[in-house]
Amino acid sequence: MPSRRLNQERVVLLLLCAVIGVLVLGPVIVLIRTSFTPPESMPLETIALTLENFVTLLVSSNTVRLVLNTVIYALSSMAIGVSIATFVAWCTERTDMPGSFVIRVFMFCWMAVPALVVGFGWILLLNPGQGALNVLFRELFDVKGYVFTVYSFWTLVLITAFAVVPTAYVMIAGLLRNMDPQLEQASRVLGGGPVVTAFRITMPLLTPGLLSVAIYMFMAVVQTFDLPVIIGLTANVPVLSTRVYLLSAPVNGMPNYGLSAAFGVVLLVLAVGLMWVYLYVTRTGERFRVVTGKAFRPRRIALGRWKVPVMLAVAAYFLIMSLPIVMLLWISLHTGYEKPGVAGLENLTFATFARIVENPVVIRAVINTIVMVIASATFVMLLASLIGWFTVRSNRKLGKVLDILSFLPMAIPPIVLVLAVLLLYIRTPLYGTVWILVLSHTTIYLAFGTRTMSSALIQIHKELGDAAMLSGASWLKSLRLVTFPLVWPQILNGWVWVFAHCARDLTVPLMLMTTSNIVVATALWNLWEFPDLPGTAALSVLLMGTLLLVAAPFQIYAAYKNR
Amino acid sequence: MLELENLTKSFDSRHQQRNEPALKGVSFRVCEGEFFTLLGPSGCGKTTTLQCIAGLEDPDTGRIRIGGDWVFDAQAGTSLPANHRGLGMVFQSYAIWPHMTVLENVSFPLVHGVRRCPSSQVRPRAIQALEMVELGHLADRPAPLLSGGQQQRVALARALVHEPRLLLLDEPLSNLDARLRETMRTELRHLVKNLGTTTIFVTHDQVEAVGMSDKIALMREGLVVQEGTPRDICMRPNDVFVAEFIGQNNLVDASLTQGPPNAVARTSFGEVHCNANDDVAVGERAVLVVHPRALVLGDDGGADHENRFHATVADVIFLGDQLDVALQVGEQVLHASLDPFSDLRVGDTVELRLPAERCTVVRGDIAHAGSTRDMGR
Ligand SMILES: Nc1ncnc2c1ncn2[C@@H]1O[C@H](COP(=O)(O)OP(=O)(O)OP(=O)(O)O)[C@@H](O)[C@H]1O
Ligand SMILES: [Mg+2]
Repeated sequence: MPSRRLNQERVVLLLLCAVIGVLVLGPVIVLIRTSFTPPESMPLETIALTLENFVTLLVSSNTVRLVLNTVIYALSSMAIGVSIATFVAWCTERTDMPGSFVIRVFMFCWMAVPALVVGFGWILLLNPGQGALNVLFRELFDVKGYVFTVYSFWTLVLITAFAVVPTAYVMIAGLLRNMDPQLEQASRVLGGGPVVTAFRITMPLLTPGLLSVAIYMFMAVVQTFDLPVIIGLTANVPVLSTRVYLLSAPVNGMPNYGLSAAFGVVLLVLAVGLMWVYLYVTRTGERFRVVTGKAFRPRRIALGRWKVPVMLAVAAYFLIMSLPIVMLLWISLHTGYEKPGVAGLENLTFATFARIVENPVVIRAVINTIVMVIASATFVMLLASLIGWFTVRSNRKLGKVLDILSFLPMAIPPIVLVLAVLLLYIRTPLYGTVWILVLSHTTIYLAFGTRTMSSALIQIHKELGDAAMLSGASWLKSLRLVTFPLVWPQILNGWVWVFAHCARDLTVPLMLMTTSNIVVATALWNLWEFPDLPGTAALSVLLMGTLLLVAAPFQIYAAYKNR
Repeated sequence: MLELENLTKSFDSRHQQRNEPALKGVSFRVCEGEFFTLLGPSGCGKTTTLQCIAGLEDPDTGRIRIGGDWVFDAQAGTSLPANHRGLGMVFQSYAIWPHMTVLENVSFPLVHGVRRCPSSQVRPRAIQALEMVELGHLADRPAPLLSGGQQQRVALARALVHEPRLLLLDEPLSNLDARLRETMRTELRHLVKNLGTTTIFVTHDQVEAVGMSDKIALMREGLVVQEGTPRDICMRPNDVFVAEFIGQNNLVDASLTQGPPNAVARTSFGEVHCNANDDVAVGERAVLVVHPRALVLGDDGGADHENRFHATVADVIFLGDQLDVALQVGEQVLHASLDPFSDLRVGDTVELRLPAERCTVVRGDIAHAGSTRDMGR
């Protein structure tokens, strides 16, 4: 007779706890430990404890500026991004503006476009010397010097805001379409005009939702790394995430892991605080939640004479969004830098693409990337499906521990987590392989995966799995044959999401870069620094094309289904 | 065949303020081939008991024997996984897997179960099981395209196809409409009785329980209150809760002036000769239970003069197949069910007799019983 302590379910649960514990707690503990080691020693090589790093951090006048920079940068990007997103979402969900389906698809697909690539595009457009737009203005209006510069605080803010829009749009559109239309209809029936209804009913009802989107996006910007590193460093706008990077991988000199870890701890504390606020707001939001599962669609507002201006505004926004991409395409189709214009049309060629795909480093990077993204996405969804099952079904205490552990990475900024992973594994054979990237990505996207899977599994009646067990199938078999096949679409959707995010991410591969584990994102970085502009552009276009090819069909299908 | 010994089970109460155990010491035995019903109001722990038998939940204490094996023993720390217990179960939601066809659903235990059968026999046996529930012609239909009644039959076929030692049914009829429920009641009983499968049936509907079972265990707040044949439970309730739950019984505040045999109870309208359960002490506050069909109206020529009272008709409700009459006896109102042809009117005075052998005094308090009635219905 088998002991009740040793059945499949319990063994898997224990294994999961061990794996997640190592993935999540290991790095955090090492990070905190390292922040207390003397500056000149390597992590895990000393038992000395010192507060020196935190003292350095506190007395430095730079620190205040750093934190202020980070907060102002995140606040303003978030505010602009969320405003644009709210406007566009309102137009596509609540008005009779034509083309809302196309906009939806566009927004969903845009999430697969790497921020890094868009950043490169903007630099090519706006840099003070050869930036295409600057050149254009110089020729048209005969101005001296430059009109725009990409290397300024506010340009960084604007570019980040544009990058924030698609995700914010998707969240806000969800809020708008799930709102019970009866609440608005009641106001209309009782005599409230459209404007009164919008300001007195719709807006207040949306406030908790919008607030949580705002906090979420603020958190995302605080943690962001790609744009601050390619634009912010030259613009001399240091933020916490780039400071952590520079301290652990300085251009010259020895890395100062202790101080870097101390900054990491500061960023971690900031992020955990935000997380707490986010959870608090979303929980109170539940209380007057307006999301009903009903299939009703709210009545659309007729724009009337506002139709043309609104459409122009939306079109202008999309034009601006696509400018950097067009610029990259243009450059990738030439062998050298060629300013955009009719003159350049004659030199269009695929030579750069041919050169890039034969470059052995790029080939290695592509192979590494494929391994990395497939492995990360698969691990994340595998772990997340099992964890999701335990969080939804199990009332064991360990199940709850697992739930919290898997949620924790949500509050750890990727840059901090990667630093911690670096500190933990730098002396192991894992360092320098693709697998350390897989490990980091798995940890970072675990929280997302678990949320996705637990909300999918909660819709599946418990008795469906129980019935399989009663029919004689083992627990694992009941999962494999019944429960997971029923949530297959969500698993696939989560897989694609993780796939795309791993491929576009620069934080992890750059922090952990060695000669042997180069991936496409780091190859791009190297080409850019070299500098090989046409090469960067061509590889960017290839990366973006591939991601869209993978992600777009799902997004189009999803948008079509939810139409 | 099945034996439960002192099962207790508490759930981690994240959502509840008070942490009442779901089971507080449930014990009963079921014999081979018996149709055994767990009856009780919502939340009394029927499903929890069933899930403990099935192996889907582990009790905190106690043990469970199926056939000759102790499949669960808290003290020894052993628990046979659900898939090794060799049971069949029909769930309240039917749990028909929507991504499979009807045949795939039914053949699942034969293909993936612990006791598989040779692949050549899978289809014939599954079809046979489907024919047993008269659904052989739907074998290749995708499962989501079934009506509620058909789903219920498929679930039954799936639970029986691998010839389980024990069949567990969790309110299988409660999702059907009234008419279908009635036909399925008889069909279900016929089917399992013909197969000889021992069956544990869970329901909160006393009509269902009484009509289908060989034996009933009535549960309340995690305990079995009374166990017995449907006749025992209906005619000889041992507790005011049982009397209240099982039918439209009249409950009258009473106390014994004389213990059994020849027990006499004092009520607000006089002394009543009656049966009394052994656990009721003389003088103690108790309840007199009178079945609405037990009341005899008019002079029926009974020889004895005991238990005769004068009553006034306070209300008459015509229900088609019976006449419900409220009778004012002193300060007490008694309800009687009469045949619909009697022509009583409000205000009539009648002579009323309560045959002593049909009156029972049980322990308990009416106020206490009333609160559970609302939960049950
Ligand atoms: N998974 C669970 N977690 C926490 N409490 C539970 C769980 N399952 C049951 N309970 C509690 O245990 C008690 C008994 O529940 P059970 O489901 O056994 O009742 P039931 O008799 O089947 O009721 P019903 O007729 O409504 O199905 C209830 O108070 C219920 O709230
Ligand atoms: Mg139940």
